[in-house]
Amino acid sequence: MKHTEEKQTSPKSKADAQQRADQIRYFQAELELIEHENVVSLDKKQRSAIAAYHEKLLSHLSDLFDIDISKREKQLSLGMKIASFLGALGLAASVFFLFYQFWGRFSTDIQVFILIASPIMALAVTMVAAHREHTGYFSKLFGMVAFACFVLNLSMFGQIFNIIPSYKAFLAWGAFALILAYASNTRLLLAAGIICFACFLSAVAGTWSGIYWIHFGERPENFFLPAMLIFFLPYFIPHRRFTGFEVIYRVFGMLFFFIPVLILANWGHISYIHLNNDTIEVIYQIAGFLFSASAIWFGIRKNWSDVINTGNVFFVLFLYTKFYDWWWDWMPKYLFFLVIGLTAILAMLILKRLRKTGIDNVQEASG
Amino acid sequence: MKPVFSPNRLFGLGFVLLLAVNIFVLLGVAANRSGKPETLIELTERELALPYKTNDENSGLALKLDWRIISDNYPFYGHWGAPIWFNAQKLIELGFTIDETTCPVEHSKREREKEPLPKNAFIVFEYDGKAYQEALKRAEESLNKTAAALKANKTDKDTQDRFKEARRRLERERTTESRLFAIDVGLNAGKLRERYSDRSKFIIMPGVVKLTCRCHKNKKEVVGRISDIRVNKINVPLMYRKLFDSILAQDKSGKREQKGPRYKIEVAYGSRFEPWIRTVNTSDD
Repeated sequence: MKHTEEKQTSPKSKADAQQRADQIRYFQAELELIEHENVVSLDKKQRSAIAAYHEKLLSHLSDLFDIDISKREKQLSLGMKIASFLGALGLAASVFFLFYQFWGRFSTDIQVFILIASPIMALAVTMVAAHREHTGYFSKLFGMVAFACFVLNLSMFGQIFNIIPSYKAFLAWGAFALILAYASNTRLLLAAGIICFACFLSAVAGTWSGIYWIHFGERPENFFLPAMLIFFLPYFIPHRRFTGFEVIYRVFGMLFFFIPVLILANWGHISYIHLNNDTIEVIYQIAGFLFSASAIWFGIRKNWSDVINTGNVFFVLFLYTKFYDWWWDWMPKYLFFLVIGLTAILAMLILKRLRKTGIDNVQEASG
Repeated sequence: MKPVFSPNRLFGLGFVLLLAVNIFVLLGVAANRSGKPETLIELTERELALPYKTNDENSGLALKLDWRIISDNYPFYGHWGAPIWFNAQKLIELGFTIDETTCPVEHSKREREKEPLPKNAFIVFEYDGKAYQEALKRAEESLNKTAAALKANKTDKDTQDRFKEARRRLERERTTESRLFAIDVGLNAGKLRERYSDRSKFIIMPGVVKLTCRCHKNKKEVVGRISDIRVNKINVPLMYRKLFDSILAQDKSGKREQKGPRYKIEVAYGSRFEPWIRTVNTSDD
């Protein structure tokens, strides 16, 4: 019993703690309602015991993770998140333009010093902010600036010393973004790291066939290997301590898979496969339908709403691009859009049925 | 228990990564510039041009390497056409596969050509050599041809315009056009250097080449093109800026004093084929 209690009161991440705080808030509201309806009535001692327990727990969670206890705090937090995101983008862009504005006035030695010192200083500021402030808004903001400084660092070295562009820069940027993401628990940096790694791996896959690496995007199949690695990584390495990281991995993994499939389903001539263009497009259209439907099924099984939603979006995209190919030219427009509307209703009916099955399963399990 | 990758350790790892990557890059720069340069060549404003327009929000300055090719479709300036020497045999040597499907004589509208993607190669550039003499010869021939046509029909406006244009072109060819021409490609820089051993005349640069299909004299044929060179701009360090800034100011005011190149630059290419400026002088020096 004690073990269970400890497990409940010691959440691993800020998301878990927030969930517990929300649960307490809902419980208090529901209890008030139940008592008002005269279903049960707690005596004063029980009431104060629960209130004291919740107060102590919320204060403990708040100390640990700086969570939002009231609805108002939650709304303000959302505002801070948006401000932090915009601030990070603004400061990162500002660093770029600031350097461009003045770098020509410095000697090479000073340019090199500034370029090396700026990401180091930004990283140090991120570290201090992470230690001083539990909410993490400032460390996330400075983390983004540190990442921008490092991107500037390597790209400007390329310009100053006339270095031949290399895809290995993506590896360095990706590694740094991931380090910052895990150190400051920042999803935006995780996304940046994933994109850099996907570019690096795709460029490596492209060079295997002898092409110049910058053209890696012109063969969309280069993205399949990174897509698989990114999607399944959180499946094998759980990320309980990091809020929303698993979702980012899964969604980006799916984007890196389905976008190339969607492109190849319409432009077969950019595929590696040595077949007739029409055949290649049909192969990728079938693959698109099969994999997006499988993603929806897999998401339902695992209870991953992000996978279900992404699968849904791509299934609809594959379906509608096919409808467009088949019917746009010869069908009257009112009929075309009618078909679109009817298929949407059909999809709603199927999803409703799936939802009902889900609810029945839950009821059976609880019964 | 403390997790293996605690935030503190991750931040520490971040510092190590930043230092390691910077050291790695700077060692690469030092390695490129150490020892005897792969190429040491003197170019002029004709080959290393100032930017057409400067950006107020970018205080840096880089000179653009202006190189050309000799192609079939003269008077085509620049480097976007197919060099006359870049044939199917050369493409095969570079690893391109050429068969009956590469440039089909006829293909349906639906069936788009599957062009192979560009590949890496080393490109040989000749400075002020035979290729430039060929360009000069073509410009002179063109002028002679139009002069003869004008002699036969002095009043025709089109012939007069063509003559004027040919005269301008020859003047440009003599005074301002680049004398740096791409003359060969290969996969092995060492072998190319053996063939083109004069390091003050031939530059070997890594570049990107591609296979394209073109219709030539009503016949479809496979030709090679040079898509780009890997380093096509050379940064100007602060110590050489004074001269370029004065030239840019002169251009801005529209008071250009001399027709020909206004500066000479000694450029070195290192062991990694990355260039840098060694000296800059005015053309009168």
